[in-house]
Amino acid sequence: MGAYRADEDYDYLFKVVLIGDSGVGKSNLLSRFTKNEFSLESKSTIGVEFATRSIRVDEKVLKAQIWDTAGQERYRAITSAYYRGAVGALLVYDVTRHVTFENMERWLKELRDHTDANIVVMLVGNKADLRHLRAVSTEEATAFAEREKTFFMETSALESMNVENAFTEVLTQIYHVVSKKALEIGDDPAALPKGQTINVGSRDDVSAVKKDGCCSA
Amino acid sequence: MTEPQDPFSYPPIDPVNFDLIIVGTALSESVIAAAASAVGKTILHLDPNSFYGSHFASLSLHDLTSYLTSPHSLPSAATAAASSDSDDIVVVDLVHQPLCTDAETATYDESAFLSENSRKFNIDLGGPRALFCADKTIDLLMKSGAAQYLEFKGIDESFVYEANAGLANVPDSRGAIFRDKKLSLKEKNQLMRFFKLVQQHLDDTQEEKIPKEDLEIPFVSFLEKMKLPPKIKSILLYAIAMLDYDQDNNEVCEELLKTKDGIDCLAQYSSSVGRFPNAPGALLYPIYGEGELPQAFCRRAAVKGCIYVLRMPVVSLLMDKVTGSYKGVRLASGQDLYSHQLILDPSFTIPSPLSLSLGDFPSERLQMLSQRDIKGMVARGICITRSSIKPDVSSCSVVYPPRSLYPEQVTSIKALQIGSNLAVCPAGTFILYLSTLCNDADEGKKLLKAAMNALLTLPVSGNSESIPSVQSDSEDIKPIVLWSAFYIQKLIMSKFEFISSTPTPDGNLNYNALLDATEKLFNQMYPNEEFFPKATSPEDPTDEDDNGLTLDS
Repeated sequence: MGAYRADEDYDYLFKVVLIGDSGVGKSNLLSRFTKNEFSLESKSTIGVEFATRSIRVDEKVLKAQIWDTAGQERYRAITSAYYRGAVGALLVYDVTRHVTFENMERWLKELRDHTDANIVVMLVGNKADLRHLRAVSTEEATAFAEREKTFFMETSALESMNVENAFTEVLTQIYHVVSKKALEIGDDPAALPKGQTINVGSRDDVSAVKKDGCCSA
Repeated sequence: MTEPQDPFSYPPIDPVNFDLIIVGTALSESVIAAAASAVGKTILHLDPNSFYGSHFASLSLHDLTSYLTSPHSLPSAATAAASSDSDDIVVVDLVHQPLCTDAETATYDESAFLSENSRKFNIDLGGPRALFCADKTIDLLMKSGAAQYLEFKGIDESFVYEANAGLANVPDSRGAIFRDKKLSLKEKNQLMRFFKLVQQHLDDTQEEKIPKEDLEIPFVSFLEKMKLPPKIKSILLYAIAMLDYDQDNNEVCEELLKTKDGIDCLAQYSSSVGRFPNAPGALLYPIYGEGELPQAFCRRAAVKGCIYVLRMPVVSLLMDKVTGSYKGVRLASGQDLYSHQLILDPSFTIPSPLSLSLGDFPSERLQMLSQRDIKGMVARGICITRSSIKPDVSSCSVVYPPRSLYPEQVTSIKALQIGSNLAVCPAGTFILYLSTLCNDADEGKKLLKAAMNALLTLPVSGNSESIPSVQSDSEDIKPIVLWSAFYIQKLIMSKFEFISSTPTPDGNLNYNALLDATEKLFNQMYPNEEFFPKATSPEDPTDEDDNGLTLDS
């Protein structure tokens, strides 16, 4: 589906956020997808801001800017600023710890309170390699995803199972939403139409259509 | 955000020993958290609220109303989970004294609309507040790396309110002076000549300088010496230098601004105009509100290992029974945590030691803690309107010089209007912030309401569909106020002791004085550490662009 391509050039930049309880594997999902690395250390996330990777969909280069929590979820202290401009989210739980799945409802509410209604959300059940320790059935999670109208995949960052698929699916769905929205741009109440944005020293725009790119659908 | 049924359902905080514990996530606390994390300190940063920012937060309409109108006291520590008191420790309970008092809110119209769209508001508690393009805050954001979490837009226009004439543009550049329609040709020439004089003075390659003796006299006297007319004097003193007190009234002006400091104000203002090609004036405002600033620094601290906890009050101090020195804090969950240093939000204090039964405990050290350095008050107002105070202008700043509203008005009033293009309110609405220094609540509110009435109008009672009558003295139709709030905030300075506290929002439009106090506090706490050193670690790729400026064209 998606193909890797150099980061220098892209048609779309999408901000995607990772949320979920501490210890479910968000950082390893991120490092597996962007750097193909896995760490067995269980230390809370320190030092990781976000990572980027580009894929190609429909001849368009989609650059994903995937944000990690910096450990702020441990005591429910994620900033509302973390969600600004996010067009996609991975809602991650640990299939071996049922409490992390029970908290998905609260994480989803926090996400919906802070983001646009069009955000693409994928429920991700990580650590699916630990088959003998499974505490959340696939059926239970599928029912939740259907009820809450999110996508759903089970992954293993350790074994690289479905990690690529999960991110690629989210990015592809975001691209479809954005392409459709571009045709209706005049009706979008969430747009910030007036005044030029000024980034004082920052490196990348969040979730922007490249200036030279043209939207086609 | 929905409060959990069990507010203390978090896992116990691990570890329990820190270099620094910080209570409150206001801007100063957040900057210090980021600065101390950057030099390797272990930090625990807590806030009793469910949001970041304390009195620098940007809140939804509902949360703002709750914050202003419902007083909250600190809960007792959970007794079931409380650790048994050690024989070496004395527990001193903290007292929470709200910074904002005398709050009154009113909904005049469209209450259903406001209620449905509450979450689309990001209303600044400490407003009006903005950054100059050449501000110290901008430099700090770049130096610390916090800039990457923020986006800004320029404030479109700056106005000064003139009695009987309404809003006049602040002519802050040659182009603006040239285009101005209200200044006479003579006034334009005088102002051009004055700006040129200042520019020459600041230019190191120029030999012609303002004489030293002139630099020491009050700025207002210098302007008179330059024979500038009252209108231009007023613009320079209050709209550009942004002074608070009437410089012509020796009785109320606590300290007259010296010429050299006035020149510095003009220099910052003029170097702000044009710094960023996309900023139309001197001022910037963060998209989603000023509350984004403390969050940016907190994120920065978290990335460096700082631990964050929201919804967790700190209810007591733990003091050494023999020496009286600080040891740690007790959380509302009952957990005890220890640190070498503590920073408290200025709304926390302790009862007078005389009211405590402390036995042999050396209580004189507590005496200092129970005294807060209150330096006055700021009256703040917030209005939500359906149209702009100036047609086709989304965001603008306004200054009401002393005596522009009524003869006894001895202080400037600052105002800032922000539109929905900055993601702080629903489309089709505007937020107008007002503030002024005052000595008592009634005086402050009177000033703010006079300022509000000068620009806005209340809906005609009984018929929300009526069209407001056109003002006979002006072509502008006054915007209608849908909702308003007025409150008084205490001004408290920062303090460095074995337990430190940070400053409250001040009455200024920008953060320079506040960040100066913050950096000073950091240097007092950590005299051997650098404030945001330059060193880049390979794990921190975003530092590569710290010195770069990227602008959307």
